[in-house]
Amino acid sequence: MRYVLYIMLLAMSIEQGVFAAPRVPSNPQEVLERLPEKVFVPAVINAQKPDLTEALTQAQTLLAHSQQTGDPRYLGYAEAQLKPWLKQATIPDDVLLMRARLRQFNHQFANALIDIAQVLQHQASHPEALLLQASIYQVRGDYPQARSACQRLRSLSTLMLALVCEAQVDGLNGQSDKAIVTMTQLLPSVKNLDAEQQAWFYLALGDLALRRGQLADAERYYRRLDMNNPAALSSLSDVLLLQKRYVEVQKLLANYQQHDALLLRLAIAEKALKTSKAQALEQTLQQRFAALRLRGDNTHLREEALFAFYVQDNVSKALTSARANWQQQREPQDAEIYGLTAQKTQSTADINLLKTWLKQTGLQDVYLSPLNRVAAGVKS
Amino acid sequence: MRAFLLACWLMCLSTFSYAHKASDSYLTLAASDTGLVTVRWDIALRDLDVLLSLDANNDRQLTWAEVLVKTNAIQQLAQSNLQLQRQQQDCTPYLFNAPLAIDSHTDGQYAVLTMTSQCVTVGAWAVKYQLLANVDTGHRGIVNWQPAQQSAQTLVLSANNGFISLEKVTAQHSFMDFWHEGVSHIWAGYDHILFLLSLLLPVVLVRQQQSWQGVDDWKKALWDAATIVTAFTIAHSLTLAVAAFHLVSLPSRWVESAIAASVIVAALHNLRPVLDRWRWVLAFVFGLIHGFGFASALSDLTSGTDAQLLALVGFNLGVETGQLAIVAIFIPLAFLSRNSQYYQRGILTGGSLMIASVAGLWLCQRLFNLTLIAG
Repeated sequence: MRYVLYIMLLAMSIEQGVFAAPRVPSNPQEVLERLPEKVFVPAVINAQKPDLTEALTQAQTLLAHSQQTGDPRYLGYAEAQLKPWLKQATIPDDVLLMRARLRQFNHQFANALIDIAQVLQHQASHPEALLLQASIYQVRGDYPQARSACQRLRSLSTLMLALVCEAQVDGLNGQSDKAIVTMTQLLPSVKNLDAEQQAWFYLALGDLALRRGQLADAERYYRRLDMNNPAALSSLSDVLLLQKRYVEVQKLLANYQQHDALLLRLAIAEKALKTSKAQALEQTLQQRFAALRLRGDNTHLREEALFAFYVQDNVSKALTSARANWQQQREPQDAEIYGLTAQKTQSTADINLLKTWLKQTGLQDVYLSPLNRVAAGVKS
Repeated sequence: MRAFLLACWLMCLSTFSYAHKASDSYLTLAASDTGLVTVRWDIALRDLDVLLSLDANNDRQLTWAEVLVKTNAIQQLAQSNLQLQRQQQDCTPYLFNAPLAIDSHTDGQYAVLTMTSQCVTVGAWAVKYQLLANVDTGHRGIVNWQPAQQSAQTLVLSANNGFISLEKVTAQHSFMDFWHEGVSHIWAGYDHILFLLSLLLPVVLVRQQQSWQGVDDWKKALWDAATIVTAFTIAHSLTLAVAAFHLVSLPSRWVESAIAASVIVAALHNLRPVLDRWRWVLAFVFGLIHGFGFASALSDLTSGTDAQLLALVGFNLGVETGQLAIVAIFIPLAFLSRNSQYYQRGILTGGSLMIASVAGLWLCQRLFNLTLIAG
């Protein structure tokens, strides 16, 4: 398999002109690069006696920064902070948990679950471990396991987290009526939560409303989020795109072009508006995806499928990416793009596979109902 | 500690996908016959700043002057983070034969180092890559390795304490995997076999006055079989390639249905031949459709990768091998029994009718997505 990769990479590097002609600037004062804010001092981990608390604090800061800026370099910096402890025979729980989070970001879900299981062996009701476990099970479409992780949070201090967590699973798992009731009842007490818990709550509630087809509600909840957060921007853009409110998306995302997932949504809007920028955006995204593939990164397959489908109008390529993505993650958005592309290409095998899965898991999502209609016409 | 960990805990639970890529450096290593290696190494200015604090005045605006003044440090970094070996002997330290330059990649500006190193003239190559080790575990070195007199290859390296071999080792392995898949696909997919058999059934016979007679010369039968198989091969290779590279894509349900229909036509044609010695035309036209069928089997194998070229060649060769095996088994048997009633009535007429009815059932179940029989 590795050789296959080499061939493909070679073909791509030639095609993409990765090794273009360099230049020697003539003006010494020319600004070559605007460097990001300095949040990182590599010297810390080179110390002879590494300090666990210090390293975890650093890793946490780097992870948060990576989430905020959408820059994956900080994930690599964060993991490097943990290195001295990862070599040890018994890895401290906090390090395991941090590694699990990093692995989740890199879509190494199985490995992340192993780390979490170890933490839970030592501390059976560790709230962060349980929440992370629940969210990974959700991503993988394993709702019974996700629900049981949520339920284990039901101690007094984390009851609210447990309820939101369970409502999230219920919402995916055919009980969205019950979930929306729970969440609406919790709404008045949300103001007592800290800022991040509030954000998490509104994001969950917005997602729930979105999958029920209640777009106005979803938008209202998403708009309560901090609009500097890329995850929030992405969710809001999706609601707007569903309603073909392209100009608003254009305005919302104009300043977030560094972020692939946001640039993708901007490109969809610009293309729909037939603006002059559309083509340049398409090209930029294409190059970025090529650069990701070149390094063997496969965490962006969902975005690549969306890109091929909505921007490049290449349905069969979109299906290939969506199908590969489906092997990794099975969130509603993954099912949506997979179902959509399978339908457009009339790929019965894919439709049936997805349909069986929907039946098994009971995933609930109004945007998947067209698939059910088509699939119902095609007896399996 | 606990309270601090909770910060960014919840929002980080979303699987929201990342921005641009993590850190990479790009290397081209070209070896000459004399063991001289020319290296071009592109390292992101951002990464150099993390390692060497290029931004002297800390205004986060990196100027060319700030980079230039650190040229020695950058070259030193290159010396210590990329080591070449041949025959387990270290190559000489690098000579920097071109001034430091700048190039842009998708995620920013990179410093370009051009350097050479002399290695021994024979032996296996290896490289040790350590850039950003202990600093960024996500960093990768993407190497375009061009050995003398051999085809180039690309490798993705992560910082490592040991030497990584640059010799190809895994080549045959996955190629053979695809080859095996090709063979098993043609043998397991009865529709392709039946199509081919339907066309091959009459090659040992000639049509004379509305009835069949055995051919006198085995060469004639073999020639006939060869033209049919070749036409089928050319046609399906053509569409297999076209589909594998996503130039054309057809709905799989229609492709599978058309393949079933092609089997019916080929089988029924034996009852009322019109094309006779021109059956290769049939093989060609329907071969185009079978190619799309092969393509969907192939795409199941390669889904998630763009490893199309090697997979395509391996898979196609596998299909051809499987196909030749069918011909090699069928032709001698058919030739020996060609003059018997058993062959002319039983096999040709009866067999064709059976093939046509099986294919008819396939057609129904593929068109209407029912399950009546296997296949």
